[in-house]
Amino acid sequence: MALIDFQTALGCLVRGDHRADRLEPVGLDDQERASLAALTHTAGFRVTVAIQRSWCEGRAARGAALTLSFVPEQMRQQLLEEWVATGGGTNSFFEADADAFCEFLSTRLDDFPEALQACRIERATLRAHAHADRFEQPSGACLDDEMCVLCASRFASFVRCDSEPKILLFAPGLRGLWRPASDAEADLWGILSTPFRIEHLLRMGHSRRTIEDLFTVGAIEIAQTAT
Amino acid sequence: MSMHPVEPLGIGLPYIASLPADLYQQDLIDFVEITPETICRRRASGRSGVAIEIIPDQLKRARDVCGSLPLVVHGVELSIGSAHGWNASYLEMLDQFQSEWPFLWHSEHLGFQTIAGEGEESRDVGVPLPLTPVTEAVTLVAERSAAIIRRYGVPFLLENAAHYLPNLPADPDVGDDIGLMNAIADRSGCFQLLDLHNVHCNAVNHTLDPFAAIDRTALDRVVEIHVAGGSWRDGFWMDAHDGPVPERVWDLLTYTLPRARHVAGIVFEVFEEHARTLGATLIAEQLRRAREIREACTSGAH
Repeated sequence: MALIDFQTALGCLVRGDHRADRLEPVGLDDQERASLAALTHTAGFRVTVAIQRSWCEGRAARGAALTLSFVPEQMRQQLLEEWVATGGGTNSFFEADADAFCEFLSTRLDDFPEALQACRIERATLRAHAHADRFEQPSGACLDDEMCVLCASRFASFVRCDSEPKILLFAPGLRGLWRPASDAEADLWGILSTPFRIEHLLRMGHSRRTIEDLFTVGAIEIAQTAT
Repeated sequence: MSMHPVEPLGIGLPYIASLPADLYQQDLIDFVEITPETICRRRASGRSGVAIEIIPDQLKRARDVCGSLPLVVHGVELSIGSAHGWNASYLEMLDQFQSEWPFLWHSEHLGFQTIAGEGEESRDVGVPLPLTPVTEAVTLVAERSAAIIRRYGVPFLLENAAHYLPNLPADPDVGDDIGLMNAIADRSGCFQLLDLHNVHCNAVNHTLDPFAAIDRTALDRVVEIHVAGGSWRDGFWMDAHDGPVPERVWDLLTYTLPRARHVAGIVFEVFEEHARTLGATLIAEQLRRAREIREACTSGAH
């Protein structure tokens, strides 16, 4: 059998993408499928799968350590297993899919408000941190009202809290990655999920100070400069 | 002129950021082995999809701790045996790493950890898997190894794998994983990183004679040796790097060293998550034991 077909089949079986009786890669004849099916019934295959699951769960857990610390142990394990069953945690750079794991967790934590809040904060921190060491603070002087179109940065987030401070801004240019924020800042960032020209934002009542403050910490950025 | 492919270094330890800096002293170790991916992150990038990027602060920290020692590289992300394609972003990162912190040799694991996904996509398996001992695998990895040797201009080593899967497909002219390694080294000019704990694992788990495995290894190609500890799980001895080196592995080292003339370095491996549990004292003991055996074997050879 071709090496690529064997590797694809074995990799899928270890990942849990396919059962042995439903292998679909091209190039495997009936005997080869039977041979792989026999392999899946060995103790060696089972321990290989167990190692894969535990490595993947370990990576995922490192990516959302704060959130998971607020989740009861039994449910924590259940969430990790569910995530790994969808193919999560296979990337050895655990930060690479931490954002996706936090997004997954946020849909499962309705009954755990503290964990959900931690999840929002963890995800916001991950996003800001991902860009922090490459961030170069821009000057507000380059913001031309007529020429610049601004948009929200994907590396920034606003998190609303039940206690003071009510709103937190996470952005790559902030020392420590976060600070308390105002309603006006959160409103502006929310609006900029659609790009707007600065002069338009000013006409809508957003202040130049707010625009410059968010721009210089990397919460909003120039989407384009009109010509 | 030396007959060694590289000058002998002695005893080495992997760079682990959370270990005390005093472990990286020249009276305890002679060189350091770094896995560059441990000071990198993965980032979405252009058309190629992803890039592995060195984190400047972590590179600086590593150099501050052990920059005065000779350096070798031990990679984990290349997936040199993946039939659908290797990880080009690892090599791009290694290009940059070499220009910033030159290494005496570098190594990778003989196996694969990615498979073909949809279209051009690559999918991570999540755990390294063994390369089957077939002619196609010999050709594939030998060509890639030769390209790597040309690219970096320093010796390139492949490490023998530990695995738990029985009865993998094999071509008679290759035979088994030892035949596979020997054929690749012979055809490409690469060297071997002989992991004695992996030999021990395979011997225990597949009921083989580890000394016979050493005898069949092309020992003149062995430039580096790994020793490590493991633990039991579900009736298998795991390559877990979570404990002291078993006596049987020390025995294998004592057996191998007089027979492998070109060994330049011996590394005690431990995973970062277990390094703190093991503690600096026990790690130092393992390093001293490796040195004692090396010195005894070296003096016995003359």
